[in-house]
Amino acid sequence: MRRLSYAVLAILVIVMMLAACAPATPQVVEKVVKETVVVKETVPVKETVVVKEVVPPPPVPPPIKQGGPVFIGTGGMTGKHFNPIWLTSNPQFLAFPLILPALTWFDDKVQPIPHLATSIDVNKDATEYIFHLPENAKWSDGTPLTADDVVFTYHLALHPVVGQAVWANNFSSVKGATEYQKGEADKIEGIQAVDAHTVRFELKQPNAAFLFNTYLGILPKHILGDVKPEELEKHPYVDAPTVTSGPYDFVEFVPEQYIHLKKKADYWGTPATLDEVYIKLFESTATTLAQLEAGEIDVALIPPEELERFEGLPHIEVAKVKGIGYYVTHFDFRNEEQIAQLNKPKEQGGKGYNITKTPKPYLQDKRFRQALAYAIDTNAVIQVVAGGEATPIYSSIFGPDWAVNPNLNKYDQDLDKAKELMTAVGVTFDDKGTALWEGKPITLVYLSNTSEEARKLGEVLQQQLGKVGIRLDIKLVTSSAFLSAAINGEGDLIRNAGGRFGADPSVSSLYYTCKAGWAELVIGFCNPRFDELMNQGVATSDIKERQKIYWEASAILNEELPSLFFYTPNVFFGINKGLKGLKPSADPGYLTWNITEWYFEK
Amino acid sequence: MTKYIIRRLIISIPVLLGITVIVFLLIHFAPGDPVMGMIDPTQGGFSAELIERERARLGLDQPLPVQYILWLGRVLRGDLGYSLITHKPVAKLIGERIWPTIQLTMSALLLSIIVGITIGIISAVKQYSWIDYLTTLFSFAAVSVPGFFLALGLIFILALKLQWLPTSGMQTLGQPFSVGDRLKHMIMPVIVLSVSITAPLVRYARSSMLDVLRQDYVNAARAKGLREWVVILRHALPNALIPLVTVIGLRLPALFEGSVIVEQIFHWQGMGSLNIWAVLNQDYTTLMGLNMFTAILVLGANLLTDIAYAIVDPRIKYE
Repeated sequence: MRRLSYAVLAILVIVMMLAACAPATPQVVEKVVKETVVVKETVPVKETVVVKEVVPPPPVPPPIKQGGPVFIGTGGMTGKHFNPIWLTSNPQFLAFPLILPALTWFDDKVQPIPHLATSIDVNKDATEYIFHLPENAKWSDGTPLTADDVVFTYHLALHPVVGQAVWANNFSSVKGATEYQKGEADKIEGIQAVDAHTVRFELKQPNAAFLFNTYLGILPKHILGDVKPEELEKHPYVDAPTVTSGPYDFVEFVPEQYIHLKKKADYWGTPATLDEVYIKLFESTATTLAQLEAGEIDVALIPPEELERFEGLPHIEVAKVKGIGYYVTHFDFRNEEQIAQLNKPKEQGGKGYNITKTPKPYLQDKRFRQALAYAIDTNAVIQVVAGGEATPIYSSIFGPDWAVNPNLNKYDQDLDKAKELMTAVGVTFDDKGTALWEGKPITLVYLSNTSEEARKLGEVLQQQLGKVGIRLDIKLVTSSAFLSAAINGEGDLIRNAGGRFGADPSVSSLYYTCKAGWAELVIGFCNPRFDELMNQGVATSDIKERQKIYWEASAILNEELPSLFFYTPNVFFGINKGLKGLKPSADPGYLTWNITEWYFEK
Repeated sequence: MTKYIIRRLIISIPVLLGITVIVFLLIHFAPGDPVMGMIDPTQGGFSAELIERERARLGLDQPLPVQYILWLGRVLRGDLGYSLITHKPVAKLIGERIWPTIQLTMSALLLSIIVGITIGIISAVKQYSWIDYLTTLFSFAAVSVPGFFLALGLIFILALKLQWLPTSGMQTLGQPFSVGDRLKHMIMPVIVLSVSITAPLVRYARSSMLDVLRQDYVNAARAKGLREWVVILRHALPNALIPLVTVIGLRLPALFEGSVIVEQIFHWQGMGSLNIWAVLNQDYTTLMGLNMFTAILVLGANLLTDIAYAIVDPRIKYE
């Protein structure tokens, strides 16, 4: 018996190995076809029966929802506390406008709109912003919400002990904010309560984009006003904001699971329709999508590669929005002097890094960077990486429409032009077309985190740069190791994606001005004229003037190419067909901006 | 016995210290650091000054030996420190996550013991029958299938196609907590976790039972004229179970290890998903806390197994 079992096992293994190794020769296929034909001819009835047995019953799709709580699926929360002062990740952006509204928020085009404020007056120079608050506004415990709450919240967010870098950055243009933030002043001179329902912000320099910064949720002074700033993080309110001013009340926040909000019974403003909101937090996109497909959540972001799956589902409607983020690869063209400056000890005014990279001189020549832009077919990149769902861009200034310079070089693929520019820089080519620098083949490194899109982009670039004789090695690292690898000089082309560039042209200053992290620490880009223009841009309120400034700034980026600019991707949301009134935002973080208009169709 | 336990506990201290040093070095030598992980490079708003300030705030600008000694000093005082990312006490984070993981792992262990031993015994008693061959096939398949693949397959069939079970999560939101609902959410993760332990248990139970069935005292029992099931259940089974104590004890850490992937896929908020989160964010203190916990678990499981072995088999004496 044992021998028999060994024999059976041995035969099984051999058959499996043969099956795995056997090539699909035409002879084998022919044989199979022949056999099928014979069966069909001789026992047709039997075959029909087999087909009937095999077909499974069609699955019942989840119902189109008609009521109950709305479930929103989003990524994990990274903020230190569940409080607007520590606002960092999407779950908070989705929840706070519902419970602790800010003076302004963002609409579906990510443009600032009055939120808690009923109206905003701005002077001609854009140096004074006056916010009018609703007179009947009150907290959920009945206390009136006044200008004092606003002044208190801004002081707290900028306090030397409590304050977060993001707010210090956002409000650096407010008179006295920097002094207060450094502990040199008792209060912020430029933020004052004019009366119970009016707050005045005075800026030390004009800032036409100031309303992009006032999204700080207003906190109740009567709850936190007596708490010492050092003690604030221990106060229960910073993790459970039970006193609220928005259309919803806070019920519960379970870390890494969900945020539960309930409609206010006696809201002072326009009440919401949906009774309950759950914001479900997921670390894995696969889990989010499975829940959306199963009807366990009602709305979530869909990656472009999953579109086909969701477009075929009867209970899901896919909404497409033009995004505001970008897809680029930054160049690392820091020269020896810049690297030496970064490596210099902190005591000597340096940054104390230990960057061992040897600069590649040809990358410092803009003609070489332009050659690479000519070598790449952006449309092919869009097809492969974004499934065709994106719009090409030619600088990081690509929105709103008025800021887009129509005269930029589009760098349409032109391999001859690319080689011509490379030759002009001093690159030579051998018989096989390999690009050489001082007789040695040119090899660049593409550095990115390990996402699927990033891998695809690397492969397309590898193939396309190969056409001009450049070898591109791909190096993928974990997200937490990515930035340090970029600063350490482990890549020459460094992928970056996201941002809010399309919302306002001033966003580009966070990336490309001389002291911006990317420009200084990774790219090595510093153009004084660009910095000057970016400063002028925010200081100018006249739209025609701003347009002129940003057109010139985008022309500099388009000419200098600190990055290879590829595209701005479309954003897709899967929405249960029963959920109506939702106007998806170009930035998924602002999805709930009009939640009071959401309802389930009965 | 008491002396033996005390000796083992004393030996555990340097072992534990060694583990913490190795883990600490491995974590710190991995590329990147928590500050870089905290910065969202897509948002651009970072600068050299911000990076420097954050590193100093988290104490990452200190030399490695200093960082280790500071950490060890806190641990000896019973303080696992604060998460570098969420700033919550690590002990609290682990405390919040341990119960969901215990629910999963213990249910999986129980299921494996019941199913694995039963099938293994039947397989041994019916050696070379079709049941035995089927069991062998199942064991091979179960050992070979990766957990994540089985998990995704179950979600696809049971949740998306048949819609019998929820795709993931720990409870149905919007409904009050109920044991039935929790059990429904537990079915798939428990199956996935238990499959990986059941298969080896089946094999061990089978071979152990076969050994026992060949012993003289079993023949003697049969010769006394006892019914076959009495011989198997009363005389053979208790002795066949002794070696399984070791197998089960040593599987405990593997169960916790398996929960890392399973919890991630099923959105189960336990230690496993905390582990993945801490690794991805390079949250050094949380990772150190979790590793300490796992190390203690492994050492404890080994010790308990040895003790249990001596209890179930009086012939074993520890000097």
